[in-house]
Amino acid sequence: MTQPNAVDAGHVKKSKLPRRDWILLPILGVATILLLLSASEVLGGYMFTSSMTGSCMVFDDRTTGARGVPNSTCWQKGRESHLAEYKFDSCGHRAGLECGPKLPGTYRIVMVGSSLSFGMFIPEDKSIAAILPEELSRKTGRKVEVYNASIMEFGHLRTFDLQMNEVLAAQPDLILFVLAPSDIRAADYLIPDLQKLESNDRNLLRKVIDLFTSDSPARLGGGHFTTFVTALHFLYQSQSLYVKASLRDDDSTGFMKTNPTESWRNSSQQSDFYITNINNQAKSAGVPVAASLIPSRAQAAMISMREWPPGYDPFKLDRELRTAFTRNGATYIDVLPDYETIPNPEQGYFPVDGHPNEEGDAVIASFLAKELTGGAIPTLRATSQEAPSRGEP
Amino acid sequence: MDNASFQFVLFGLIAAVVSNLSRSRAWRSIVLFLASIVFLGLLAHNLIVFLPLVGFLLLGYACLVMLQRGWSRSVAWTLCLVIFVYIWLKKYTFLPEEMFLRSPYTTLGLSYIFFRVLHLLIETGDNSEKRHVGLGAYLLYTLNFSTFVSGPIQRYDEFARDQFASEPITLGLRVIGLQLERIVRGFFKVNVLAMLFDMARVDALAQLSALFPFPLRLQAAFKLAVAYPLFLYSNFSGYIDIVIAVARLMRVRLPENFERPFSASSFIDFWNRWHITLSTWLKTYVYNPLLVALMRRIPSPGAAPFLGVFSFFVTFFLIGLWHGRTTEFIFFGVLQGSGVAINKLWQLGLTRGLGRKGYKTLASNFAYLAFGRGLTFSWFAFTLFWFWSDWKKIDTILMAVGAVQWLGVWFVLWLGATAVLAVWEWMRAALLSIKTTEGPVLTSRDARVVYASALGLAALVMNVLLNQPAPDIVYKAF
Repeated sequence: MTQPNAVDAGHVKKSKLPRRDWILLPILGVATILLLLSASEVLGGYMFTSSMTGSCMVFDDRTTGARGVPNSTCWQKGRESHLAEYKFDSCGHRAGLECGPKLPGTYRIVMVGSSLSFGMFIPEDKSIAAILPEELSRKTGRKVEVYNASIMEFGHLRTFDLQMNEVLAAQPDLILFVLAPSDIRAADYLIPDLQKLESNDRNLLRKVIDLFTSDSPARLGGGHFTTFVTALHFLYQSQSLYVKASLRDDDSTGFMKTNPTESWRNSSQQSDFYITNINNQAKSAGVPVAASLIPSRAQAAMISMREWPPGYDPFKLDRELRTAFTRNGATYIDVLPDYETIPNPEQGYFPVDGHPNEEGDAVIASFLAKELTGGAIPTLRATSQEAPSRGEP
Repeated sequence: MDNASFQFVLFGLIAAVVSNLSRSRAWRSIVLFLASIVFLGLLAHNLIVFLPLVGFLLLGYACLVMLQRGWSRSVAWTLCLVIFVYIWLKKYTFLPEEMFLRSPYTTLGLSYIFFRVLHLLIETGDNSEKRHVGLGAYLLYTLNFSTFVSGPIQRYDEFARDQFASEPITLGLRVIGLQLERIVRGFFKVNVLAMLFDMARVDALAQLSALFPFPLRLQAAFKLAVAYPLFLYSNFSGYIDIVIAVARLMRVRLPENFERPFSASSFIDFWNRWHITLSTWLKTYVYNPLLVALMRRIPSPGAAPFLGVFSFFVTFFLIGLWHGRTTEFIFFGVLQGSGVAINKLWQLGLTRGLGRKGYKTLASNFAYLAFGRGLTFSWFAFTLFWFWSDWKKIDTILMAVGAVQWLGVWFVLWLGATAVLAVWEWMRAALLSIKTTEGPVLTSRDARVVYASALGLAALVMNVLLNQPAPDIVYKAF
């Protein structure tokens, strides 16, 4: 369809456009764009619906931070996930167990974290909280249960600190912090300004302006327009493209920078403060603490590829957290090197949303079980004869 | 700015608008010169890095002046000098390292300037066309921002015909529309297609790791073979689309550099359609003189076809060598040279065996053309491994899938490319056969507006979402 200049005589006499073209061509162009945009919004909306049914979170309590509503149930479908049911116990946790004293002879781990360990978008029986106790029981030969005290949304280190009383009330033999880089980023974050969030969500012009002015149009676009979710969902299947795109977003990958921004340095200092507080509370109650960092999608991909651009180090935050936790007498469970042993670990995450999917939760649970029973926690040391795991011969 | 970025397109369009404020030759030349200087200034933070390039340009001009003043006997010496300085500035590894300049400098655009300067010197020394090229015209020709980074390599007389015409070529709305559509298409090729193909290549390379099961590695090797030629085509031809359109908006017609190369049914034909200006240049200034010289030395008519084969080999070996200074590029050159030489021998053999008429009949057979296309694509894809990769990576690929299986990949690629390209050609012909009185519907203004809008939207969405530059224009590195 190229018109080669070889046939372009350069002195075309018939260069006037017919009058119809002055009207028709612009209309055709605009119509094509509108048609494509609306078709992809409709198709994207059909393929990537999202919904939230029921209300099971309290976001306006400054004394506790975000927390679940006791005995409530709600259903959520993320744009890239299936519908998942969240059932909260009488203590307001998606614990998988009833809140109350543990059974005699049972080793209870109370898992604390944010949406990642909560199992956001994941059915309860496929979540880390469901797989981990099975794996641990099989490896240790003793009854291990995991009480999931993780917070569904807007729960970060400050909230964990505020809710330590509840965590200790669950009578843990071990408190396991399962952290994501975003928990460090938003360490000091307590409750969201829901009004602002809702008004932003309604204002189309605001969305478009944000899209063109943001450092991370992908994140914004993915949040606002299904066309973009659709495009990104497929584009982000590519490991290389995803890593490259993510590294341009300091908010979500700045923690890997060897020379982090001022904002990340502040977050890191705030994290240290809350980690010390949390550990002190656990120490006073005589409960051991273990903590682990679960990599972000881009971080997992980089570790598996074993290569990253200069100025980045995917293990940096891991080392910092190890120092912060062990300085306070806690045990650090390092799962990051395990990601070197699996291909394409980013497939264990929802491409646009970034939370782990069912496959990712299974991987995380197996890595946590491997490291917890590898000698880091003496009471959970694996026995030499393991029972076969679910699905193993 | 040295990429097919939005900024580059905008720069080109602004230059075109300003250039068209007056039809006078002087005005258009001043605008082109200023635009080229500004363009150069935007490429580097420190203008000192351009000093060697300026030196090369001045050397070229000094040689040109000598030849214009009738020192035509010194053509060979001036050519040798210019070639040597080019090799020295490009730091070819066969020169001792102590010879090279220590301070950093840019060689961006040097190769394309080199071709233009050599062309001027040869043509002027040849005395076949009497003309005077002044310093201004020389600088405009060599520094023209639209051809500076990656060509196309335009002949001086073609440039001068349009640039210095007292009555510039017309630029009606139809032409403007066509060029804008071409810019959108080029932008889409570089910023969407090339990005996707590059992404496929990088992912495939990662999937050759031992962590992946063997069938996936084999699939990755196949993807690797397919992705790079498509990437290179989108990357280079997209950029060329943009610069040709920008130049046309400035009332200069640049030569085409691509003519549906993957429709070529033989490797010789392929090189008539791929990087056309480079292969034409080499055919003019290497193949033809070499063949003539050899035929003078060996006047036997029976040897003439084989001298042609040899000249083909040398010419296309040089094309490979021009791309780079490493052993990989030497091997790339050997593969290019072998490709065209074997192709020529094949044609000679068939003509001898079947007779001229028999060969013509065979060469127009649908299946023969289809398999030829598939083979041409596969061979080109194969040679490109020594273009983008290095010996270590090639070894990794071989280790990951095994030598025999890798050969299997090429066989499958041949068959696959044969089928896919045959379907593509059939579809294209079928679509173009839907016609109105004004010509094929697919190339009508309405259709062009529709797909330019669609491609533009796709490119914009990709640009906004990924928020990252497309891969660099590969050919600017040479």
